[in-house]
Amino acid sequence: MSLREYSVLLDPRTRFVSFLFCLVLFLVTDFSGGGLWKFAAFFLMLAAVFFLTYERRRGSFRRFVRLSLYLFSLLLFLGLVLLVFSPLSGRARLAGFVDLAAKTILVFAAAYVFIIGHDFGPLIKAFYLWRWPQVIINILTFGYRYFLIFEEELVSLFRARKARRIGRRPFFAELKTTGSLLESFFLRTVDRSEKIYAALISRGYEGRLDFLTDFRLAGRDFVFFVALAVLFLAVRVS
Amino acid sequence: MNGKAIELEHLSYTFPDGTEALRDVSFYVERGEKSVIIGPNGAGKSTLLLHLNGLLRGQGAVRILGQLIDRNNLKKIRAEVGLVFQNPDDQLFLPTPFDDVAYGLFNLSADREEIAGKVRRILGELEVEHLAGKPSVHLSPGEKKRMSLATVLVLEPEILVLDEPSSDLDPGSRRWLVDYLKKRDATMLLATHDLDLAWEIGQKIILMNKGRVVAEGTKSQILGDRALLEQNHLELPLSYMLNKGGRHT
Repeated sequence: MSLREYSVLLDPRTRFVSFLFCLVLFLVTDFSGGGLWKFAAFFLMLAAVFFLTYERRRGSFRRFVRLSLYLFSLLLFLGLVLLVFSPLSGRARLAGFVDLAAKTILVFAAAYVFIIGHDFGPLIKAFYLWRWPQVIINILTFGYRYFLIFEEELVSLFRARKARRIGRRPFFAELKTTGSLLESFFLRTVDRSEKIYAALISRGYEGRLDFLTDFRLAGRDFVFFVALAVLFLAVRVS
Repeated sequence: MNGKAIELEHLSYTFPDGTEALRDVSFYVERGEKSVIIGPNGAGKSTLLLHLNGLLRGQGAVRILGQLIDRNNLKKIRAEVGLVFQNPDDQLFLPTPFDDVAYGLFNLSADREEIAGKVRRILGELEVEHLAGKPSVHLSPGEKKRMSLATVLVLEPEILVLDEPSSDLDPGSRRWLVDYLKKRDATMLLATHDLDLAWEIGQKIILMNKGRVVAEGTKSQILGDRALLEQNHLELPLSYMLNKGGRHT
């Protein structure tokens, strides 16, 4: 087995625990002042993990960039809030923002590397194996399914509009059309959701979802987690 | 118990917005018989199928294997009637097809080893074993159709009900489906406006239009009646015409 094959077969539970570990570690690390090198080190290590464990690399960078737009909006918002409302002096205020921005970027990157960048299904099964409450499993499973439906419906509606749009229309006319599209989107998703629910109960759904999984925590999971913990902790304490 | 697998008596259904979908529908399907409901768009075919495992409850009586559907026997009825929806995306709601196929079995309280065995067997039978772990959203329409069929067949229902089974299928996938349904030995009720499919599979044809049963008979009686079909926005199936011309069996 090559290193690549070995590395992508991580159990989703390992990925989730690794994410939690990173989350806690980033939150307790001070990145202001001389701590910026730690930010760079963590970021590079996450990039290395991403390179080693990501299953579908084609298009992944584009996806990361697209998602990063949300991150930048969040950072902008945080920056504005800090600059306007922080009781600290100018320099301390800037240091606070740098620390917060570094934490936000790293948490986002860790979430992408361990969770968002992978299929969500195995993670739901991991929660199932951990015996999380059934209501959470249901919410996650259906949330995931409905999210994909919303995406499909939205893409098909906007594509239909684009296909029939010739030339530019006045802004308010466009706005009105978009409003009608969103209304139609809502009705279509309700309709689709009802059909999915009908399919569920036609196969005996009574509020419980069960899965068959072949997940096995193997040596590679422990090796991966220990290596990650040691390296990240080393950066944190140095 | 009588020999009727499905029996509808004076079934009527009106949607909450007042649209009358079914009007006094009565017919039956014998055990082991393959029947096909045909009709134009909006004839009430899909609405009718939803009554067969209690998803909709109209006025009139619906009997499955001699039992009148009511609130108390819904679980039993749903185990006996396997309903395959028109859009396979509606049927596949779990992360992978494997999970989806196994899902119904969990509701019948079978043990995990047995469930895994049954799932593998049905996926093998439908030649989609290699797709079991692939996210459902990444399957082609033909693959999704097979998977949605698998989700129902794995439950070994006595009655198989399929809504527009050939829609969205390429010719190869459609041929596979037709051959599979032809060789499968079970009571079957299909709703379609693919009249060639009806010709190939149906032993009994029920023609519906505007929520009513317009005609009922053998495939030659219904699918060979050009005037009747044209009155109901349908046309003679190509298979019938070829067969009549002696060029196709």
